[in-house]
Amino acid sequence: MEKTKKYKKPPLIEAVFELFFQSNNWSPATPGILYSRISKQYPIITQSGGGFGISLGNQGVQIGGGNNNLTQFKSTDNSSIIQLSNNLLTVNQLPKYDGWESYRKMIVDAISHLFDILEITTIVRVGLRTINKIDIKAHNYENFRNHFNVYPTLPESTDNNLNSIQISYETPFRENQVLAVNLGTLRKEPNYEAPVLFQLYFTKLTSIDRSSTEKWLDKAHDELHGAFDSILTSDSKKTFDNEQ
Amino acid sequence: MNNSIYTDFGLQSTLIEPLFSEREKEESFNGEQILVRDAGYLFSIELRREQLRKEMESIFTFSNDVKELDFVSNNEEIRAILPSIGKFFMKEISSGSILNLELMEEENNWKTLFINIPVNEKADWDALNDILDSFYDNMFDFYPTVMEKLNIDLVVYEF
Repeated sequence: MEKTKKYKKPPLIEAVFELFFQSNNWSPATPGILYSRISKQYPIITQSGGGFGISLGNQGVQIGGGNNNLTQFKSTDNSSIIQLSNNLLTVNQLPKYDGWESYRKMIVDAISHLFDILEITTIVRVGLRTINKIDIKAHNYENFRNHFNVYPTLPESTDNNLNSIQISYETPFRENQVLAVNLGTLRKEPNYEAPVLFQLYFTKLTSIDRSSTEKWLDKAHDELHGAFDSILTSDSKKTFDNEQ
Repeated sequence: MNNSIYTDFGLQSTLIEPLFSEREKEESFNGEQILVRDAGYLFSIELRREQLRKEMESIFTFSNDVKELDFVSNNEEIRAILPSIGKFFMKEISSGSILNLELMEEENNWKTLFINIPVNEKADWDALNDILDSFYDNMFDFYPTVMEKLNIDLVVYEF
C-alpha cells in the first residue's frame, strides 16, 4: 500500500466507496438488522422517499422507478455515512477525513457487516471515488493551467477569461477496470472564489470475490492517489499547506 | 479496431498518455463514459448537494450551507414540488427577488422547511396575505405529506 502525503488543508470534500451486490435474502427488515450492529458509530438514520430504485444491468447503473429505498446511517457529526439499498452499499466520508487507513477500516467493517447480515451471491461491481474542490482564485485559463496538468488546448485568439471549463476522460485498465477523471468549474460560493470540482473514480465493472476486495481497495487507492498527484501541479499542492 | 490510443483519440490523448504510460492499460477502449453513464453522483452526498444547489439557485438561497440541501435531497416529494411553489410566489412579488429556504428543527426531531418571501411593497403584502390561506388549503388537499413539512413566511422589509 502506497504511503500518501497528508496536507493541512486537503481539498478532499468527500470519498465514496460503492459496492453493488446480489443477495438471496434481502427483506425490508435488513436495514434495521444492519442498524442494530452499527448504531453506536452511525446512530442517525434517514431514508430517501418515494421509490428511489437502483438497478445494475447492461446499460450500467439505472436510477429511479424502483421501490427500494436507500437508507442512510450517519455518525453524530454527519461526516461518516453508510448507505444501503437492496443491491448497493456505499461508505461515504465527508470532512474531516482522517486519512486512508481510517477510511479503509470503515469500508472493510461495512463489508463485513453486509456479509454477516445477508447471503451475498455476487459482488457485481466495486468503485472508489474521491471528490476534491480546489479554489483557483479566478476562472481563467492561466489559473486553471497553474493548478492542473490536464487542460484544454485553446486557439491563441481565445480570451484568457473563460466562463467555464469541463474535462472528462476515462482510462481502461485490465480486468474491466476504469479510471475516470472529471474536472469542472463551479460558480463562486462561500469560502471559494473560483472553485473547480476535481473527481477521480476507479471502478471494476465486473464481479469480484469477497476475498479480493481488500486488495482491490488498496489498488484503487493507489491509482487514485497516483492520478491526484500527477494531475495537480506542484504550485496547486502548495496551497494545501504543505505536509504535516 | 485500431488499439492505439494516440491515433484513436488524437489531441486529447497527448495530454493523458504521459500520465499513465507505465500503467497496466487495457488494450481496447470503446468510448463509453462510465462516470457520466452511471449517475454515480447520486451516491455522493456532496455531488447531490451540488446538483440540488444548481437546480434551485435561480429560485432560492439557502440559510445554511448544507441543512436545507440535505433535507430537500432526502424528501423527494418536496424536491419535486418546491420549484413550482417558489416560481409561483416569485411572480407575486414585484421585486422578483429570489426566495430563501430555512430549516427549523423542532422538538421530537420534527423539521419544518420555511420558504421566506421577501416583501418590500405594501401592495405585495396585501396581495400575498389574500392568497396565502387559500394557497395552503388547496396545496394541503393535493399534497398533505409535503405541506405538513413546509411553512411559508412573509419577511417584511420597510415599506
